[in-house]
Amino acid sequence: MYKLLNALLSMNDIDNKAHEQTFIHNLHPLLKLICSLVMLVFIISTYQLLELMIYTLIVIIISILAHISIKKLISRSLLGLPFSLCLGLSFLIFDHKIISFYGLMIYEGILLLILILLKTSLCLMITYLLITTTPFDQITAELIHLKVPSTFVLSLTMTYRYIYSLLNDAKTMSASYLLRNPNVKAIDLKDMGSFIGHLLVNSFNKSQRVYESMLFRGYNVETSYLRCEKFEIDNVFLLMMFISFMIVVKVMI
Amino acid sequence: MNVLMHMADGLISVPIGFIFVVVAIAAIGYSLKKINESQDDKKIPMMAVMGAFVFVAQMINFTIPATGSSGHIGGGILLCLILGQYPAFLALCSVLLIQCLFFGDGGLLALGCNIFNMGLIPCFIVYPLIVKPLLKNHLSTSRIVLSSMIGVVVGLELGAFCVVLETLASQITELPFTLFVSLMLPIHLVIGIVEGIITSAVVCYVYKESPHMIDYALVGKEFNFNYKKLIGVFLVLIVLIGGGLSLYASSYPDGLEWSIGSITGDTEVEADGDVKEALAAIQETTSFLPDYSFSNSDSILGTSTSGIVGGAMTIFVLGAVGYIVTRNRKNV
Repeated sequence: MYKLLNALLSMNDIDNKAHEQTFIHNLHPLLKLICSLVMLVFIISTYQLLELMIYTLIVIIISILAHISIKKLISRSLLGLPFSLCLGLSFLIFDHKIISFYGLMIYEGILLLILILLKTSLCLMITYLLITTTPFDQITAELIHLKVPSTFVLSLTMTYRYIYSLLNDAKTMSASYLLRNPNVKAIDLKDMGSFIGHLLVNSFNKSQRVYESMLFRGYNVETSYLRCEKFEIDNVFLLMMFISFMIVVKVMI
Repeated sequence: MNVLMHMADGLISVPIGFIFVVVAIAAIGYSLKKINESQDDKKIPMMAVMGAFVFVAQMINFTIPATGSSGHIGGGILLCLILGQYPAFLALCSVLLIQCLFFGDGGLLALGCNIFNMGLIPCFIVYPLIVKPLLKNHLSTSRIVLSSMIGVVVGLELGAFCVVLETLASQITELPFTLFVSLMLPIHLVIGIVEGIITSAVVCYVYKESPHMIDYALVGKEFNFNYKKLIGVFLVLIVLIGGGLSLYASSYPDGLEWSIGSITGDTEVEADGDVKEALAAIQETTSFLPDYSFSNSDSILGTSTSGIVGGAMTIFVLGAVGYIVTRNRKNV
């Protein structure tokens, strides 16, 4: 139950952090969104360790400017570790070619494993930085502004919002289970199927009720986020600087 | 090996270099003040893109037939016609600064002279005194061609003459005044005609796409119209010219080097003295793509990389200028 409580608290923590006032938080949401997307594209498209190091440095600088704990940033980025590790280990097993890496002779598989781990972590770090420096409503508004299909934006918004509802339900159910079984410390594996099934059915019903009540109150994803902050010219300059800097890094390395 | 295009430190003495650096700083300050007063922030993105365009366009040296020399555009009049004189001057200064610091093109001491010859003369003398009167109240394609040709040729000849005067004032004895001037002016006349044709072609295209732009630049009016298409076109041109066309630049020495070579037998004049050596050492440290190529490598990729990196750096610097100008205005 404590795990669920922690998850709920960390969700709240992310939301609270997004409303802080720092240089990065005060930047225009569209600027942050575009810069994040550009960085993701640049990270995904590279296989240069040095280039990835520079991107890591940029991420660290941004997190310092945004007053976001680097320890937390790294711990969040480890969420993708199991997936990237599975992929990376296959290179380690099957790729035995020896290459020279800045004069050091190593297996290509090891280098690829490091690259994949670093790339996954960096992508997650950037996403975490975006959501901890920009309120989710603002991201949604900018996606609508960028003419992203409303169905996609709606599903994204609802998914983000339902996580709270799902965690709350899970917490309540877990508390009642433990109260009825005072001698057990966690949910038994044999009850897990019915527990998850109930949670799923409950959250289906609840999400349906929430969405219908939103519709009754006139919610429409395309019109509810029309009040976008104006993209002032200074943001254009920052965007120009950021993209040109990224191009210089990309081309030079 | 690529051709370096601007004056090196060997051509001037230390006092002359410092005098022109002071003049250049004063002109930059004055231009910044004028841009601040005009409150025309919308012009700055175009200024950045055009600056990057001039950077890559300067990399294309065209052969001057029957001379064994080559030339490149200066870009002063081109920028003035599209942006107006003050943004044009700032854009050119950024280009020259980046070329000097990161590509080792033109000496650090001679930076002030290069800004004066290639920026200040076309933007502060030729454009307001020759080009503007020719175009005012008579804006048409034929007038643009005429004023571009005359403006560029006069600007380039004046610039070339100033180079000779600067070497004379610096007492560079290797380059006798009469001989140097008799080589510099004719070769730059030919280069000027070619640059005039290029300038008028580009400006006519801009005039056709967005007639307001030339008109507004002429009278210093705000750019309150949409010019996203032009920005897109010039960005594509920057990539194409910087990344591809720059590989086909002429390897002949440019007008200045050719003139020096015809007199001394070498395209460069040795820079001696502690100050010049110290400045050269600084420049060596900052130039990560010396001579528009990778250090210790003749790979053609170096030229393409230089074109794209230089264009991006110009956009970065002018973006930073735009950001500082707008933030200052917001804070006031």
